[in-house]
Amino acid sequence: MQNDFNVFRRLNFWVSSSENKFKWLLLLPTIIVLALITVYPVIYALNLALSDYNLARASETLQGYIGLDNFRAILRNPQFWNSLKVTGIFTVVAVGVEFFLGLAIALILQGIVTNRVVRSLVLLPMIMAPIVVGLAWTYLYQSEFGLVTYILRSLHLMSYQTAPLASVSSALPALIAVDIWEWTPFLIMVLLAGLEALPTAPYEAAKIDKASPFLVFRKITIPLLRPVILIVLVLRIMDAIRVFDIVYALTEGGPASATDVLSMFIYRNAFYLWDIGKASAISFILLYIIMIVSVILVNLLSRVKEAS
Amino acid sequence: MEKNRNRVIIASIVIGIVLVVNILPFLWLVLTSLKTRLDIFAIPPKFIFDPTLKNYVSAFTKRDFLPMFYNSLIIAVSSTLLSLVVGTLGAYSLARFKIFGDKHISFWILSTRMFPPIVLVIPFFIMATQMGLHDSRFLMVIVYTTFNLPFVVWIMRSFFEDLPFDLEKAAMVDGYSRWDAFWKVALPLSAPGLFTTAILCFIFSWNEFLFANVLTAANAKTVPVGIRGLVTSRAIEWGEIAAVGTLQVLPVLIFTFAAQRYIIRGLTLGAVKG
Repeated sequence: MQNDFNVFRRLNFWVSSSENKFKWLLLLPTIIVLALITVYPVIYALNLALSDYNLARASETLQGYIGLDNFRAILRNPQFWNSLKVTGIFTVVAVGVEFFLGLAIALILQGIVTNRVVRSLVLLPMIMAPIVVGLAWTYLYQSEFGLVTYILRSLHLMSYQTAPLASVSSALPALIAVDIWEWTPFLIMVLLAGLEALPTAPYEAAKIDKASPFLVFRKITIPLLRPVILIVLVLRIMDAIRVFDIVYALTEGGPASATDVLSMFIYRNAFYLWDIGKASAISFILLYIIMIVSVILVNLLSRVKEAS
Repeated sequence: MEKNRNRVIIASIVIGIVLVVNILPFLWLVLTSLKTRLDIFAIPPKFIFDPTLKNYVSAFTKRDFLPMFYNSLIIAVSSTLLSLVVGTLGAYSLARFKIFGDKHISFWILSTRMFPPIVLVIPFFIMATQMGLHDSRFLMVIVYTTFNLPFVVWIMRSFFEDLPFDLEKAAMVDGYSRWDAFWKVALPLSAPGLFTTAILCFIFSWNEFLFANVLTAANAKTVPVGIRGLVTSRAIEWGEIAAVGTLQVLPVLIFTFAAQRYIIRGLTLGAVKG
């Protein structure tokens, strides 16, 4: 009964205190608006995912509520497993390369590059509209007159029979390269900000002890930087899993599904095939994957925060 | 000393390479926008040529990019304002008061920010069609608020938490109401944060493609959708893509420069104070 009493007291406090009314008055608009524009559509989408809903078929032929049939059909579809694989490879390789490249460059630039103009220019790729990034690179990768294609051929790294986006083996690496171009600057700038905010005392102590640079890096820099590293990885991984714009601009999932990431696969099912029910079901699987990944990463993050 | 000079030299070389790699694709876009059709298709690619503004002229005469820029502007500004007004209040509440379940509320707000747009675009498409809102600017403002509002709450909360509470307390001792302490003390002091937040919301909306591509057709069509529309099965209008792409990036570039000080903090949702 102790618990009930607490709830009562809390309720009583809530009604009586004007401070409490004030704080809820400020917060309620956010909660209501978000509930209306995100929670409601998601519930609506769940309803679609459990229905036979296809805009390409006559409405008399549709079966309405079909339970988990859409999910069963997807799990049997090899195209879905291909998309899952492509999204996985894209996320791991792109974010992995961006992170190590970003960390290396941030360590080199630390304390040296402070110019505002330079810093703004470094940010250029990530502030461009992703669809423009995608189209700009489509042009660079173009099979006859693309600048990157031309350079690759001049260096004998690519034959005249093929182009970066034309072959199954090179399309995904070419796509990943665009993501690396777009997002490495973000990693550089965030890690640089993290490095510059580190306390100086441990480094001075290490200097007195004549510790090697590698030991300082491993025993001081990395542990102190870990919260920043985790945050930036969370943000990048979430973005990479849901990547769409650059894929749509560069390949639309092709050639032969080589770059068919999950968002593209869902988009095709929904707006080319008009199979809204199935597309919603896949989007819930994507949402589920993102939730699991984020819970793991956020747990990791809070454990690191407690430790430090 | 010797060692330090070497480091500066290495860092200068690295930043040089980074800048060239960063800027070259954008520079190439700008150069392409100034080329004639003949120069665009030249092999090997040309760096030196007679510039022309033909692509810019035809984008606004042959095609209707002017209304699209207008749509993009109206939608981005409206969604930014709506999110700022609603979200700043929520952010202040979460930053200043203990709230029953505030951790869960914050996490829920953050999770809506992490939502893949492809999950929301399908129900929005069906609902908008049924309600007759498809291809309207109003719909796009609402849709963009789904990602702008959680963003405003998270980042403004971090800015409010940075302000010492004592200032508001002192104001209240002097007879300010709770609202005045927020409105006349906390809000003006977090103006730089508010400014950065507004700029980032604007950029997110201005650059957004997926929602706009599905939910607009003619009336509310935005610039990113229009640019992609220049890729057709018959031909790809590279010159016009480059011209409109350049114009689309220009305001973003200027804004980024203006908000540069807090932009990393904004893009990490307030977690990294660059």
